[in-house]
Amino acid sequence: MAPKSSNFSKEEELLLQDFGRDLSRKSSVIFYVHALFVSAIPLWLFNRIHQMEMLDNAILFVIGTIFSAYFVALAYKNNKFELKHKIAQKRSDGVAAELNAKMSETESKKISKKEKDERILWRKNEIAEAESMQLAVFYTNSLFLILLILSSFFFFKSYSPMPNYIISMVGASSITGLLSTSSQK
Amino acid sequence: RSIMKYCVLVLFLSCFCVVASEESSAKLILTKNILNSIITQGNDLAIEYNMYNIGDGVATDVELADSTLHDTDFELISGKMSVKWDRIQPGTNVTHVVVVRPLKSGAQNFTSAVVQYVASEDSEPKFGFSSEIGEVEILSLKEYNRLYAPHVVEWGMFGIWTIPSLLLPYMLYYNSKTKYTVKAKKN
Repeated sequence: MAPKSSNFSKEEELLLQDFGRDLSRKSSVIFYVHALFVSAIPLWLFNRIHQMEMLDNAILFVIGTIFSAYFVALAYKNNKFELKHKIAQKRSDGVAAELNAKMSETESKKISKKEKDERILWRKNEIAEAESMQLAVFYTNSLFLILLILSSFFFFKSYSPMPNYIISMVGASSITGLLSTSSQK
Repeated sequence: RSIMKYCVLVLFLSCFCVVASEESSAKLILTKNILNSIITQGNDLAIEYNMYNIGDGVATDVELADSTLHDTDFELISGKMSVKWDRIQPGTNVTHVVVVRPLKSGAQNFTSAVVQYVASEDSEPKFGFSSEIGEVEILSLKEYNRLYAPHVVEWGMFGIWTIPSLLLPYMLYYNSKTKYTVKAKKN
């Protein structure tokens, strides 16, 4: 009997956990690229709207971007881990259906149940990995950008540009990172 | 009876004397106001001078002069800095507006203008000072744009930059999700 989607055996649970925290090289690269990109977007806003010259504030901008990219990447990692578990549980049936459809009748008779289940598990892990990454990036980016816009253009609007940049970037990225560390059990 | 008549006559005459000895005299109050709500370097600034005659005499040879707006700091666009009026009737007011353009940004101190007038016939000219506006911050063009321009283009471009950051990941996630949810339903 194939395990029900909500009731993993201990080994499968362990497997998923193992795959969880550590990122593959490819994932790390994707995350850091996204983090740097989303941290660089505010530079455009601050340059054009707050009239901060790029060359004058280059050092500040570079430090701010790297600082925020670090925390945003941390948030990606944490959020992805939280989401992967939930997504994997939901995709069980879908993945099983896909694999069963792909295998012909004769093939499915040859392969043992265990082998089939392993393949399903592996495929599910792959799908969950990709989806959780995308969703984590989307969710974290949205949170970061909303916090940044609120703080820079509403709360601290009257501050002069340089303190505005520092407070907004540090605040938004720190809060995003902090919120990602809270885990819902 | 004759004494009564005499007293009334004296009183009547003394009234005349009192009235005759009081000369009608003008008194001018000068106020100086800035009409703009936002003052920016390079944009026109309107200053209004109001002169009220609160006395009961006619003010003659009225001369208003404002020498506080120097050529180096302000460019005169319209109106004159020194104006003359022949007479200002009691209980009336006159207004004069000058349009200047600030050439520098930063804090600027607007001090009093001076009015010179003759309060009553054959008297010496009197001087009066206008109200002071005090120190006013003149925004540079950069600051003005920063605070008040609508920035539609900038926000539009921001929206474009967020496409790879927000829209792309979500679309990938959503495609994957529907693909595997549909399959489960079909099964």
